[in-house]
Amino acid sequence: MSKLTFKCAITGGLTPVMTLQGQPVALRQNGNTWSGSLAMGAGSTLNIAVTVTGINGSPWTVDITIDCPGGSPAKIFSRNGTIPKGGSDAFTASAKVPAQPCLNNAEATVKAQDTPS
Amino acid sequence: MRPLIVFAACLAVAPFALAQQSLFQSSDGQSSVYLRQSSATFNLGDSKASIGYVNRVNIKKTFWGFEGYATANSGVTSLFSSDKPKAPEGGGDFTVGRHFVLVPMPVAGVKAKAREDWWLIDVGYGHSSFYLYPKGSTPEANTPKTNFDRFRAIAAYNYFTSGNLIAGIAAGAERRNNLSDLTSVSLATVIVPAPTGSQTSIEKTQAGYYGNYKEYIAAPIYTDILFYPGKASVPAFGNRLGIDFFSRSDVAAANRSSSGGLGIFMFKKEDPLTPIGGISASFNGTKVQLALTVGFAFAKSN
Repeated sequence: MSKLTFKCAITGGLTPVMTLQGQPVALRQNGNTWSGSLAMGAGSTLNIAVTVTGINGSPWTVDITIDCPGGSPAKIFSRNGTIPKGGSDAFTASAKVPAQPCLNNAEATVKAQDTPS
Repeated sequence: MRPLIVFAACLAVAPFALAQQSLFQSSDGQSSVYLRQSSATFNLGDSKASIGYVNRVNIKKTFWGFEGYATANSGVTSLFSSDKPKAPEGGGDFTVGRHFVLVPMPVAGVKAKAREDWWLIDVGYGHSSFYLYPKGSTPEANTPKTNFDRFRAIAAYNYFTSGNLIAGIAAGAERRNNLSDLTSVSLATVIVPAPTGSQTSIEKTQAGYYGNYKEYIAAPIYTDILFYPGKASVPAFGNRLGIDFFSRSDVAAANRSSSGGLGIFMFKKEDPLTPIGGISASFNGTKVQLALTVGFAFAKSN
């Protein structure tokens, strides 16, 4: 099982908590965005668990990507929502991890380059 | 014009500096609510501009930050009350604290009652210098400047609950002076006397403070309750609003005082934890004081 580095970003809320395959992700606060990365062997399925807290009615987003050399990051998982009354929202989800997550990006880059101007 | 210049300068340095500890400031520039946003602020009531940085990682309970500030003299504040004189002052604060003190850290993926708390210690230093003309003494043109070193150590505790309430209490000690109780004056020294038959002379003026100056140790206690009423927002703009009920007291015998007030703060769109400005009014039993705080929140670019 090869190791992949998952880049995670959560916007909104106070202190969010997140695990990938049960491992906590260290997220550094950068304005309204908390971001961090975790290197791990994920297999074909990535198990995600997130809890966000914040002000009622404020939006939150969760994004997980993998950096691709020379291309835009490959999107693995994305979800957004609104913090409900009570101030907390949480979910667990699974995302499929392609065997070669950057392959689609590389193809897209080639296609874009091939497109006549 | 002058506040605009100061604020513009504040914005200009924003990309190089980082965060401010709290925008919920009353007219004296104080607060007990320490939020986590990166921002630069300018408090018109206190003529105070500040920038700073907070280092925070979600799975680490301990965090730290720092802030640099500068205050202008009293001329800036004429629009928003505060006719009290104030000497320009520069300084900084260092903050260290911990999150999830009395409430547990949430478990990822498990929805629970929203609660979060944090405590911190805020240690600061400020320096100012000014000309002083004590009562009963003859003013002299070559009076040396008086220097004042402000030290402070404040401990604060903040508690967030229910998705719409943040409460804060702060207490500590601070070395202060009574400059704001003195009279702002100008000492005029005649350089070229008026010639015979003329009333025109050339004078050199030197701004200073007149009265009985004293320095003392204050024991401030600040409280804030920041409440987000429903989904109240600014019409047409959508920025969320928060109401801050606050008190500011000094319980030290030397200069015991107390005031309370109300502030209305506006937040960044879709981010009700990043204040961008507010107006507050406080009452100390004799006088109402208004303050306008504006802020510029920004994120550190990696």
